Amino acid sequence: MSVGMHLVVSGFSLGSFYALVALGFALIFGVTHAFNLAHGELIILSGYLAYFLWRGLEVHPLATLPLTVALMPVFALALAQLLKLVREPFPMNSLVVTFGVALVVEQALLSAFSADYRLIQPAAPALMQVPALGLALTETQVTLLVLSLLATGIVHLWLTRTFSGKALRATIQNREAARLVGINLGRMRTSAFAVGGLLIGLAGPLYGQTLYLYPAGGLEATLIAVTLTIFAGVGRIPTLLLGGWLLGLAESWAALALGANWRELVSALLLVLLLILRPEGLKIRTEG
Amino acid sequence: MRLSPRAAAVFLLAGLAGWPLLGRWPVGETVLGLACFYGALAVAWNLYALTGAISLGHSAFFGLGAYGSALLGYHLGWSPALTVPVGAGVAVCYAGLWCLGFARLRGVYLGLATLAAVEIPRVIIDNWNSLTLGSQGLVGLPPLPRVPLGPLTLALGTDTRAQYFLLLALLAVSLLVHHAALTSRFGWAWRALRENETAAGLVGVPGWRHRSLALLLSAALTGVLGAIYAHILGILEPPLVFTLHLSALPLVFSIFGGRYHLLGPALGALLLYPVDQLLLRPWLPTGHAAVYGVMVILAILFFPRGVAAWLERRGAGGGEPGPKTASTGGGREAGAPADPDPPGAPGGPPCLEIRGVSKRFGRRLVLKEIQLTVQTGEVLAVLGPNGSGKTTLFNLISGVLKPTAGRILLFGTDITGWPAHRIVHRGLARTSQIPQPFPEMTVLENVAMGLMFGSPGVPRLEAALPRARELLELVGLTPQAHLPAGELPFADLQRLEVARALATGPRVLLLDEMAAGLGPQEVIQAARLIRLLKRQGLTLMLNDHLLTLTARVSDRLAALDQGELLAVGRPEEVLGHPAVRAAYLGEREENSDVSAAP
Repeated sequence: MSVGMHLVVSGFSLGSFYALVALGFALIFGVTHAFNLAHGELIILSGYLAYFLWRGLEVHPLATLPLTVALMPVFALALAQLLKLVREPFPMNSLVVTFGVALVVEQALLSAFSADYRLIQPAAPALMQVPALGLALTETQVTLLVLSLLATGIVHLWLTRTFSGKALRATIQNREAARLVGINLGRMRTSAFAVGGLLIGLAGPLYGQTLYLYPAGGLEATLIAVTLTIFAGVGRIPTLLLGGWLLGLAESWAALALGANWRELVSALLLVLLLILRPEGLKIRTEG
Repeated sequence: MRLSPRAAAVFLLAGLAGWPLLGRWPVGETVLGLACFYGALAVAWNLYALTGAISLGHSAFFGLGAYGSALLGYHLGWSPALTVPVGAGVAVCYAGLWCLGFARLRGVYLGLATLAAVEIPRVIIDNWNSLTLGSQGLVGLPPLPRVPLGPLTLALGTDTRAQYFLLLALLAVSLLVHHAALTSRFGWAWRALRENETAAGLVGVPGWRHRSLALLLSAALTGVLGAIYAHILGILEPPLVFTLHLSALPLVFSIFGGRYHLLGPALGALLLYPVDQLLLRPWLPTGHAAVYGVMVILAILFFPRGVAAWLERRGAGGGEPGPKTASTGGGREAGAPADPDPPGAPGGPPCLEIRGVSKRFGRRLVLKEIQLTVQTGEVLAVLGPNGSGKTTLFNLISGVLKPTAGRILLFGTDITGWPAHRIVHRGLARTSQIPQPFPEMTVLENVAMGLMFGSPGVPRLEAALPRARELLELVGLTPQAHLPAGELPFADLQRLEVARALATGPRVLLLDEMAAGLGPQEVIQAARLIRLLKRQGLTLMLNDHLLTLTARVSDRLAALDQGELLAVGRPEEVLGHPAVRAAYLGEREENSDVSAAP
């Protein structure tokens, strides 16, 4: 397989996963206007749970998903309860509070798992060949692609086709108007955090198979989520996927051209550039 | 007993200096020294927070200060006495990039940008192996020098007690800087910026300059601390300095202890750090820093103003809020009375020229090629129904918004696109339809801001107070002088707006919807005030959708409708103008959807 093809394959699988990482964040931000800085740490927590099950109890990595998907909404809803206590100015205060939560989770992981880097590695990293296209994918890449696209697709259908999904979208676009037409904002908050938690539960084990788990690693996932949300706006899943792919391709290219360690710079640099070039971007996009 | 913040700071520092002389205590010099060090770090962070910014990325300055100094020491063997200032310089340079790049970002978005901005130096230093040795780290940095001090020699590199006094001295210096920042003119400018940035511009505070100054100072101090940290450790690698933890600590200490208080940030560090070390280290060998996360959450949820504010309320010292509250009179008479030049008769030379000004919001053209000249000494009222573009026109003139096309000239100078504070300094002030007070300052202090930062400006608050009292007397707010402005009812806030605008020493005053929400008696008072100001030589421009006020006081009217200027001239001419009658009174059938304002 050519270098170019390799880049495209890893870029797309990573990018689809990034869209999944950002989706839960974007939903919660859209409904509550809180930038949840603990988002990445919760994904890492979910990853560590999967790691523990895989390493300690020899559960197959994919079989850890039901547990993490069931458990993470509990954490997300607890966070929702905490954010209810936050007073005005809500955006700034919720930023600091979730920053504090990120710190607590990071430190809890540090004392439970130490600062070592960990990776969930399936026993035999099988390659899947697609001879017609000259592609070779690792099992992890296939899992990433399938599960990420499936999850984002389902959430997209939910937001565009179902009554409750449309209500959530209405809330994202204009909370006051949504309240006036009789949408229960409390329920919308709960469903945003619950779905956000499900997505975090799904993303964690995948994160553990793709990128290294370490207690402070949540910052990177949070930065990816923030970057894509500001790029795409809230509740616009096709744009989110596009952003994810662009970021995935840019990171794969950076890793290939400059070295694996430079990959970490891409999302931070993109976020800074996005904020500098269009600081008002998010506001316009959420209203559009 | 009530302590002034300054006295409390002196007691605190004296206590800390005497601590090691008292013998063995459970909190040793190492822990207490580090608490002092983090106190200084929290003060450094807080300098920027005083402008209303919450930085999540101060470890960038800490790390750059450390690396800037350590690299010179490691490669060239220079003494820390020379390299520490260089480290601070590197941090200041990066802060300069923030000032330029993040100029338009505020609040949450600024916070996110600062969070991401740590990653850039971190990844570069981590990967620049030939210079920084990357993650392998720099080992064997030059220790801090031996400093001769009279008969003593302080071996800062080896003697822990000498090191303790060095860290205490850093805290003392940072508190001095903090005190100077809080009580000076800068402190008031920063407070104005964090309480209401729009209003700060309208009283003449140059916002970008002050935010940048605060950030550069904050970064310099943080850089010094980072450099000293590296030399005390003797080794340096990116994970030691570019961490979320080091960005979080000053934020947590500052918020917990109380931002806006002289002692708040230091108090946060001196309380939390020893407790963490004493109680948690034995039980939680790793992960004990979770306590900081918990503390900042509790602080934001339950005591967002911090421990210092609570102590102050208990009357046990701790410090008054921010800059000293204005309660004393005295000081020299200051502030500019309205321009003493002889009043120009209506029809004098033009002072404000609006030439073909248009404003577009997205696809909507809100103002279409407005052409209007205001003569020196006249009272001109812009009349128009709601949504006709009156307030937008005022926003363009006062620099709150920038026109899409056209020029605006003030006393012959092209001021198009100037920021609000520069226009204020040229002698044009305005009030706002929706009042823009500094909510936590007293009414008197609000007015004093106009005197301090308007033209010609007053260096100290005390010197501005006598004139501020006169202006409050003029608008009839004397009884409310010492209330926080945030507690005033709407009508009083409008009068405060007038007093504060006058305080900036304008020659042209724009009054935006002054009569909105006023009763008949208050309209008469307002009219009296406007006539008085006109007699003092002020040029006035009003804007209203009601005739009750404008008809009483105006020399000329300008009628706006849907962004177009229909007519300008003497009141009876304009009101008799067919286009005006059609637009305002709906006298033509096809204009029935254009309703006059309620």
